[in-house]
Amino acid sequence: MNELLNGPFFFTGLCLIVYLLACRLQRITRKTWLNPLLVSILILIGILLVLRIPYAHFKEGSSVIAMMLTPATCVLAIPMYNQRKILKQNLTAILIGTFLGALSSILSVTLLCRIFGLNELITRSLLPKSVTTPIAVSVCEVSGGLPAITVAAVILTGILGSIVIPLLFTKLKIKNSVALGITLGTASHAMGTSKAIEIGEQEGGLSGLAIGITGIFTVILSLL
Amino acid sequence: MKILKQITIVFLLCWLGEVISALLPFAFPGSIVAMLLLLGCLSTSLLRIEDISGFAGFLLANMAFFFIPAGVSILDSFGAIQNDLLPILAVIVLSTLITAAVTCGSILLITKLQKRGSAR
Repeated sequence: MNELLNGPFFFTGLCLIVYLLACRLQRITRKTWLNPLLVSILILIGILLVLRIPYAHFKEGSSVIAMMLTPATCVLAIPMYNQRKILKQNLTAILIGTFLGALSSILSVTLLCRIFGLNELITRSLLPKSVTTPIAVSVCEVSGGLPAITVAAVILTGILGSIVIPLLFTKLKIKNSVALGITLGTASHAMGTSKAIEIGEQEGGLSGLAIGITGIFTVILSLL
Repeated sequence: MKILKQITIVFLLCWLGEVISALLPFAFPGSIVAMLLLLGCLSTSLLRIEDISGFAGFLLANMAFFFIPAGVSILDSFGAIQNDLLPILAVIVLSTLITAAVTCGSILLITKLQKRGSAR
């Protein structure tokens, strides 16, 4: 039986079915925390454990999907290029805001990991957690962390930020759409941006731009 | 035919990115090099968005799907983190709040300074 539950068509097909169902679940419930990627990962882990399918089989069978990560990261250049007008209009605020955001993310993760006594491997995996998944995974792999921890941390950061940041702005009565847009993109990447798009066009554009620039700053800062 | 051309362009950029990344004296992700290469090609009008928009649109619209294998690999590395789940969660929550506060604070300060500058 287990020999039949194998191969690229089985695993790629399984990932597709689970992901499509997870997307539908979020469309129906409209809950931010029911993130399709997070739900798919949990369901697939459950399936592998219940059916006792070795992880090595899954890894081999799903390698076609993993291969598409590099092209997916590459084409992130397009949304960045499309936002060049907004970049010119708010150049100083965007550059300084995203740079300090990326720096504070890296410094706070390093410091907090030391305070909580987390080891080097986990620290390296958590470092790029505030940037978009493709960039975060690349940084993690290059620095020798575990990509799986990075993916989980990035998703949690995105969900948390997209819920908490707009709430804080309302509570503290901050009415600055530039600050809101850039903060959402810098602190919680694409998930923050999807929230920013709901709030307004300017917030959405600024947030999308902040993702890319924060990502580049994080790559450079993590080299040091 | 058209979509094959688009895939060719993107894959070539990815390969170039990996080559440049391997030649660099420091560790810099190849996928990010590929992204910067594409940004450069678009800015210099070497490529137009229409040249790759079909394939790129597919990748951008379904981005999350491609991370499923990376996420499931936590099965393989769960042993490395199972004793540290709570502290890891604490780091994620606290550092997200710190990052948001610093970003927001610095932009509020900048816009205030810019307003004061233009008022004078």
